Amino acid sequence: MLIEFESVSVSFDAKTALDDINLKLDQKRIGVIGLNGSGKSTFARLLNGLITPTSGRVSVGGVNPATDPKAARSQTGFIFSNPDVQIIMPTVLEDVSFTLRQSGLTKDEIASKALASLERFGIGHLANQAAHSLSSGQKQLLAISAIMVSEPKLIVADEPTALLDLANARLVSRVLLEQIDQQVVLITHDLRLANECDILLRFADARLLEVGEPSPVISSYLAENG
Amino acid sequence: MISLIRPGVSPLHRMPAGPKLLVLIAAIAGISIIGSDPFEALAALAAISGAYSFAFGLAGLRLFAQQLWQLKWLLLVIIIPQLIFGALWQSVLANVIRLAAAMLAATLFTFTTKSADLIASIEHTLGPFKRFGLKPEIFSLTIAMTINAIPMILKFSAQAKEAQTARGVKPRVTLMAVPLLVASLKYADEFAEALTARGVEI
Ligand SMILES: Nc1ncnc2c1ncn2[C@@H]1O[C@H](COP(=O)(O)OP(=O)(O)O)[C@@H](O)[C@H]1O
Ligand SMILES: [Mg+2]
Repeated sequence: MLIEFESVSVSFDAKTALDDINLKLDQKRIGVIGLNGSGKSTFARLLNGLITPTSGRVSVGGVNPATDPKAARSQTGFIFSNPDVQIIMPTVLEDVSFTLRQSGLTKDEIASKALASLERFGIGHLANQAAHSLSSGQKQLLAISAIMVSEPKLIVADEPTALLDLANARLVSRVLLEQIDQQVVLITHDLRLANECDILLRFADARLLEVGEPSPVISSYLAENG
Repeated sequence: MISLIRPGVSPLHRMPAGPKLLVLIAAIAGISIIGSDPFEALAALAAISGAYSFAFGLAGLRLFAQQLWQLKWLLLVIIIPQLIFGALWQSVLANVIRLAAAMLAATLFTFTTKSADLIASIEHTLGPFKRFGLKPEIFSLTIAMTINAIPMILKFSAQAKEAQTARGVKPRVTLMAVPLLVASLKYADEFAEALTARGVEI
């Protein structure tokens, strides 16, 4: 999908979180880097209307998330850093099924689709477990399964591995970058991962400082902050 | 005390969630109008243990005993003030047994009912009220969230305890209140955002 930003600014009270962002992106793997507080999460939340621009216009696949948040959210799956806050239903299978609650499918169809999604991401055997009893890595895979079951067109992941150990971080990022056919926007501090994206965005102090091939963007990021 | 579905094929498992909830409410109402005779209360408790074995066979009795044992602290907390304030020991005993019976009945309900089924049945029951602007989804989500909130709060309190121990403070309930509240509010905030992202309109 085409992601378009036209003079987008976001302020919270006196604080400017994003300042005059202009963009046109249709790459499949879009990486986002930048220091804490540079505006990455604000950028991500504009894509599904969790935050709306103070001025300017966002368009994702022709949908304006500010005016049509429902459409924006159904075409976008969002993965947060904190694995705990994304669990809605008490058991693993129920949580994935929850995504399809308004799909018009029968209960059995929903359950079998949900199970297939869990199996796809390697946690089918946990289907009947209490969701909160899972490890953090498994919870992120659950979040991915729950989002992917409705086949969104865009996945936005805001530091999805920030709270995971190294092995789980690798696993979850491999899943996001390799196992998903959809377009992915990945916010990360893992520069190895950022380097694998098709295009890299670098934010600094609410501005979009650089957009381009990953390796030069990473080099200047390291040079300025190393 | 978080309890979840334990698979089985008994009629209790197969009974639709809505009618089963009505039976549960009737059972709890029945238990609560028993007088202060400990023997009547014991009979009610025995009936609940019967329901456990009806649902799970012999293993049901073990489950019953396990759940009863888990209630020990709660029951103790309830007994002591009653004794202090001079209630008759017979009525204290009856109260405690009745309470245990009611809680175990509710637990059996959750053991034999998928929360999704319960939620669907609540939404179905409240469906007609939609035209008055009521959103049944809010009610059913509240139940799911309450079930989820329990492990989260346990986790926060364990973290607060650890943080205090690490700083050489002996963990105390009074010292835990603030960090617990802060963690809960932060969780609520992030959870609300995740709900919105998954298309729930709050
Ligand atoms: N809800 C909010 N209220 C006030 N300020 C906020 C809010 N969200 C973000 N900010 C501020 O906006 C800036 C950008 O934040 P954010 O997009 O979360 O950065 P990043 O994700 O890159 O760390 C930060 O200075 C942050 O403090
Ligand atoms: Mg952020």
